[in-house]
Amino acid sequence: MRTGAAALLLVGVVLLVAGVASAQPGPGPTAQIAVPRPGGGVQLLRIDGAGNVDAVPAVATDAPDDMSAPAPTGKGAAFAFWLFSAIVVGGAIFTITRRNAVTAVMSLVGTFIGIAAIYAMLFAHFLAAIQVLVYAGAIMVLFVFVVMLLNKEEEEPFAFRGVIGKVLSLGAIAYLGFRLITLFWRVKDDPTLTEAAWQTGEFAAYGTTKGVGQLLFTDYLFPFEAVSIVLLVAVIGALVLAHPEHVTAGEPEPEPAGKPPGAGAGAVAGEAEPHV
Amino acid sequence: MLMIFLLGALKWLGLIMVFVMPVASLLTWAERRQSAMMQDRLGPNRANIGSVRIWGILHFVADAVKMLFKEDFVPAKAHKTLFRLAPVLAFAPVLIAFAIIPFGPTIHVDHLFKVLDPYSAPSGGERLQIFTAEFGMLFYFAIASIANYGTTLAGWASYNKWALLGGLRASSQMMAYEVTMGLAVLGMFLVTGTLEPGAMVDWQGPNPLHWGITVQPLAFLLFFTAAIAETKRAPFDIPEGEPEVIGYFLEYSGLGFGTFFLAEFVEIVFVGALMTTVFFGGYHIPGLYQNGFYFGDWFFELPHVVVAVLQVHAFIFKVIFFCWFQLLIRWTLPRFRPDQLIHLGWKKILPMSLANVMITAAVLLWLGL
Repeated sequence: MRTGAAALLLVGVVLLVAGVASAQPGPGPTAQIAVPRPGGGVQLLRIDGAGNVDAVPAVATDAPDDMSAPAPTGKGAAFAFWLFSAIVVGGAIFTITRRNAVTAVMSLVGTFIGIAAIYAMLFAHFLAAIQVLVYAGAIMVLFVFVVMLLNKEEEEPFAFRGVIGKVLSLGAIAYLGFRLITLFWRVKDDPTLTEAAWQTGEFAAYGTTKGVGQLLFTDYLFPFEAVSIVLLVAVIGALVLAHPEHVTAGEPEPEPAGKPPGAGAGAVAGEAEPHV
Repeated sequence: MLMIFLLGALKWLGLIMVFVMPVASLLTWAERRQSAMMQDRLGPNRANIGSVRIWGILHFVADAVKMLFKEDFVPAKAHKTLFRLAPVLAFAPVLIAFAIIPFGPTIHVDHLFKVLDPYSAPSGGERLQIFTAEFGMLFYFAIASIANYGTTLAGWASYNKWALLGGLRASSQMMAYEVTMGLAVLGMFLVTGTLEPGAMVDWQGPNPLHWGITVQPLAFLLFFTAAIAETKRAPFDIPEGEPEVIGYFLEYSGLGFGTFFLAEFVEIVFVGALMTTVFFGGYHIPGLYQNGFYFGDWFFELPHVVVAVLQVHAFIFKVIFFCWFQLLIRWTLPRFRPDQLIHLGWKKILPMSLANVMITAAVLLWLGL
């Protein structure tokens, strides 16, 4: 069984290497495509080797000063972007400064939800839903699980104290508030971007479940399957680590039957499942 | 833009405030009354205002008043913020998830008193669904996974070992059944070719032979089982198994407990709405098309507004039927043991739903769809 697991691991690694080596979609690992904006003009989108799509900020080419440039999606979107960015960054800062581990994990959940919102603003709705489902909903629940059970003592994190800390944080908050409020008259609305334009434009089909699915099962099929094998290997590895005495069922081990199970993992697993 | 927000708010009010919350409140009474009838007792039948005593239906008012006036106690060593946050995290996701449920047909305001063309609807109109997104069911799964935190954090923040055990049980159960739930409904996604509940309802149409229950009966059984496990009610109420642990909300009193309590009943209504939408044709009535009733050769023409009102009522009727059915299950089946629960989830429902997906895909391929 151990050899079997090791062989599977080897297969997984070989497949992954082969997959990464063969997966060179299009012109290179990073491709840029231009999507016509409904209101005229062009929105550049960058697609990297893993299929992640992000918008190339138009402001970088349009104008050097992002405060005075017309945002591609108007006041509301600009405001929402800054709001979600504040949630993402604030959550990340909370994650590393909270004394309590559970609070830190919950802050990270906030960060993930903010990231999902920003994905949704980039027309990657499917990715946004998956971000919440997988990261905020499943992986972080496991984190909370572990942290809860460890019940670690609260630690004193690094933090600015006294006058300097207060001045710095007040300054940061004041700057953020200033940016958020000035958005309302700095950002110019694009009059051609109507609700109908969004619904009928190129973006209507972009980043949908269908679009992502078609990419995953055509151009990126091999990396997709290879990653799933890596996950399978991880699951089998966890099983092998957690249940060493199960292994003896298939291949008889040289140990005598009466000998107590080895220290550490064996004893713990034996306690967890007494009927085995 | 403002119009969209206003319409959304109006639909939310119509669905949540007029339908979901009253039904959930009434279910708190109905559950006790129905269990009493099943066990040959009388149940709560005495709450009254003056001489008004409608079988004790007003009991839910008495409950609410009691919870409002109870002391909202926070244990000394509890984590105050998370202790307060947990009921919100348990309650809010269910209410948000209602956004994807289509509770009525598309309303064409200009054609209210006309008979619609049976083959094509007029353009525009307002669908009675708050959030129409092509990833609709994924949105529900994402939102439902957030509800995990409510139970887990309630258990942890209470600073109580029983509550912690209850929270752990709840979150392991919810995570296990989330997976099976997603896989169980996958067959229905394959058949209808969409994840959007509204489009699923359109696909099913008024012919019961075309409904989800007929084309995907196994998926319905598995999905319904997993959904009941998600609501953490008997036979899946291990997180609050009274003989061993009391539950993750052990330390909550007053409205904190009331929120968890009501969240459970709102979840019942949501599961009912979900089953109706995905497997029972949503708001459709057998034989009722958008221009009237068809029964074989017999045809009865109806104006748009009558059809719409009938369909909304059909939705309400089906949801209430499923609420009643869930109460029936809750008071019929005994509680599983934790190992039986995990066994059922991972070794029975999961392989069966995988087989369902494979067979459905093979059949669709064979049919050339």
